Amino acid sequence: MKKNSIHSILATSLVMSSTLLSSNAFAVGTDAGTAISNTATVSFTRGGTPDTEQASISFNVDEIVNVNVTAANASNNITNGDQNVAIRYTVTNTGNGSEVFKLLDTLGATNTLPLAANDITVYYDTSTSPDGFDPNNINEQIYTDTGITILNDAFITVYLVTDVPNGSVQDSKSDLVLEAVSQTEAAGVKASESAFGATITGAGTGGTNAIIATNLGRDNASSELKVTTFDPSKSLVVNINKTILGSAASISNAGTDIVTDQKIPGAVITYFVKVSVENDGATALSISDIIPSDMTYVSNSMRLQNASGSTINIPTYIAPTFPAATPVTYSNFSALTDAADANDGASTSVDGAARVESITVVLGDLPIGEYAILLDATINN
Amino acid sequence: MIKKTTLALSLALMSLAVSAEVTLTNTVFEVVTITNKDGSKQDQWQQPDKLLPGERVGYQIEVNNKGTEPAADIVIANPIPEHTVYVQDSAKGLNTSIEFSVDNGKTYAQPAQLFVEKEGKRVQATSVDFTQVRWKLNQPLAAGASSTVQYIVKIK
Repeated sequence: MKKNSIHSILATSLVMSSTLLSSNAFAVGTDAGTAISNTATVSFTRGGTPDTEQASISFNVDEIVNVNVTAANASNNITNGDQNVAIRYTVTNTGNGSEVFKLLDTLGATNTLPLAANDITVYYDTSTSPDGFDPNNINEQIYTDTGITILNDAFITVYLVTDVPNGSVQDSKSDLVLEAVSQTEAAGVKASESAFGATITGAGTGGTNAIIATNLGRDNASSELKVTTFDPSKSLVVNINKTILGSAASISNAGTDIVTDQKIPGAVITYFVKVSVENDGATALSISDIIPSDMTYVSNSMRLQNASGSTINIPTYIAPTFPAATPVTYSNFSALTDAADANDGASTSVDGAARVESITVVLGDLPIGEYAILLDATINN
Repeated sequence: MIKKTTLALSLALMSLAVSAEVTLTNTVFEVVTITNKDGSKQDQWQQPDKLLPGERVGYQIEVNNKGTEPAADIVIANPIPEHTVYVQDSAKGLNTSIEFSVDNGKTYAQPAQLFVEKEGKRVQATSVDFTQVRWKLNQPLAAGASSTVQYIVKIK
């Protein structure tokens, strides 16, 4: 008997116990660090005299590092423009010792809403009876890349919270992935870098060995946000509004020049063109304006105000100074040049008679906000 | 992880052996299932490495008569350690009769004769009910001879 056993011990091979392979079966188990002691007693008689001997041996239960992450729903129905949409996950320590975990949120391969990584805020709740996401609940804290201790067989609730872009179209969707990573390590060997089944000597509870029962000491779960209801009123709206800011003409009467706001031949008209981008960013936006046939564009009179994320109030008209009547400088507006260079996106288009028939300002991709140009044109004599 | 005290206990036993001349050695192993090349499976007793819940732990208990006269009426008794359960049919020992207790060693019997109360009913005991395992050597142990018994428990 003994001989056979020793042969078995010597016939070493690296094997994983079959119980460890079905690692989730460990959800309930003897706590790591628990001492299991065994005392055997032998009784016997020798020369008619009874006697006993005892032999004891003890070991401590090692620690299983294991974690399970689940999403409450595989898919979540949303409407474009929804605010503070919370996706709920549960992170359970399925090992047999207290563990510290860090949380990682990432976007999956499917991301057509689309979302950016920093659009997502991670909240967690350590209470045992979470009642859904509520940013005003004191139990729900914003996760700040600090490890969270979860006792064995205990769980935390995690919410990935985001705003759905207004411009998300019908059936667009994004996968949000939550991952929990064990922070166990000893002597530079980290659970987060260790393969399934690896042992980290001395890293477990009470100095026991830590056995990695989930590859790389982590688990993740993915949950989908999908636009199942499309609200067109929340999608991109671009408005353009053109007004005459003011006009000025110089007239002479008996040797005296006066300036009038009458729109008479020779008067300089200042136009105010405002574009508002609402609900969502706009791409490849440009503003064009045709100069009326009986008017002459004032060279280099395009001026631009960029108020991304903000609004523009109509400026107070300032009359140009005659006789030059050069374009007036308005605060918050910067002058553009007429040359068709990439410098400021402004250009003019001339007809066969070298008359400027239209102006264009290429603004490109614009976030939500307001954008305005001023230009001057003179009523032909 | 095995405590260093194991070694200390062994040393203590060695010193005791001088007077008693019969020694007892208790050794713990990790029992794993290996798959042979032909697909068959077998248990392997190896040096403890991963002692985890759900794992099986084997105990080898060796009685050694270092005296000059035979030792008779040898009985080795071992309580099933706390936090573990006995693995059915795992107790072995050449030329021994093996009995179990379900009442912390007050009485011993063969498994078929062991009963426990469950929900008010007297039912046949199963291996998880065992509290003790006991080996009775069928013959005296001659001077200089040794005998080894073993059994396996599963960590809860």
